[in-house]
Amino acid sequence: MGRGCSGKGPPEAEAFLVECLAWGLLRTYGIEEPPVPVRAMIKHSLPIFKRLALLELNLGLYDATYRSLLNGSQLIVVDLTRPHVVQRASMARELYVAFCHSPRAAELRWPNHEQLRVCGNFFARCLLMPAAWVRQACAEVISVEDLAARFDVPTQMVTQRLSEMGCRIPSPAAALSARSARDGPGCDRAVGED
Amino acid sequence: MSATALQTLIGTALIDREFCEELLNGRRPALLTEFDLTEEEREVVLAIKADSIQEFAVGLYEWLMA
Repeated sequence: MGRGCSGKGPPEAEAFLVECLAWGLLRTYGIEEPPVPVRAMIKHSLPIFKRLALLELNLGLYDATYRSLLNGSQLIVVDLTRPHVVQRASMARELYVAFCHSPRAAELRWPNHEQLRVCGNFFARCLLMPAAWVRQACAEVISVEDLAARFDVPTQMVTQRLSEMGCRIPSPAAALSARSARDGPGCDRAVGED
Repeated sequence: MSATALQTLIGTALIDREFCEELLNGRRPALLTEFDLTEEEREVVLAIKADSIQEFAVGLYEWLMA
């Protein structure tokens, strides 16, 4: 499949299931292109996420965190003081945690409770940067920064995703060269060069 | 993208209990028409015998890795 998990990902068979879950959510929400609207996905959560809501605060404690409440409702709390892309990545991670706490996960005896953080981060990469879309984007854009902008994610997530997919991570020099070829030589001049 | 269609099929079953039950039982051929599978993939999916979606996923995973 041309895909393998890095040391920061779950074992391959589990990774396959986690990636399936991400694709299932994308299909169910009818999302067909980046950027994946993870905030809206949480605000308009599926029935399997029983009474899940998004709480947006200026806490300065977490990027985002999942909490279940005594009344049976569930919250994903996101810190609005964090950069936008960090909020998106962390909300996607916590959506996985919410799934792991769902009745559906219990029915499935979902296997990843022991590695919530590892699998959650992997899930976030799969959800926000689906492999097929990344391969397509790599054929069109050349730099990590361009990919980060297209998928609306942190650049660190892009490099991790490319690495675990076995894709080449473009060097800054290669990106500059490709951009120059695409846009013409005048675009490479440094600020202030004029 | 073939693996994508297969993963989407499994992912839908993970989320949707009713879809999952139908996939594991008699309605599998009808459900597959909703997914962009190749003829080979369709044959593989139809041939898998599984009591759970995890077993089903393992069968597909092993086929993809072979």
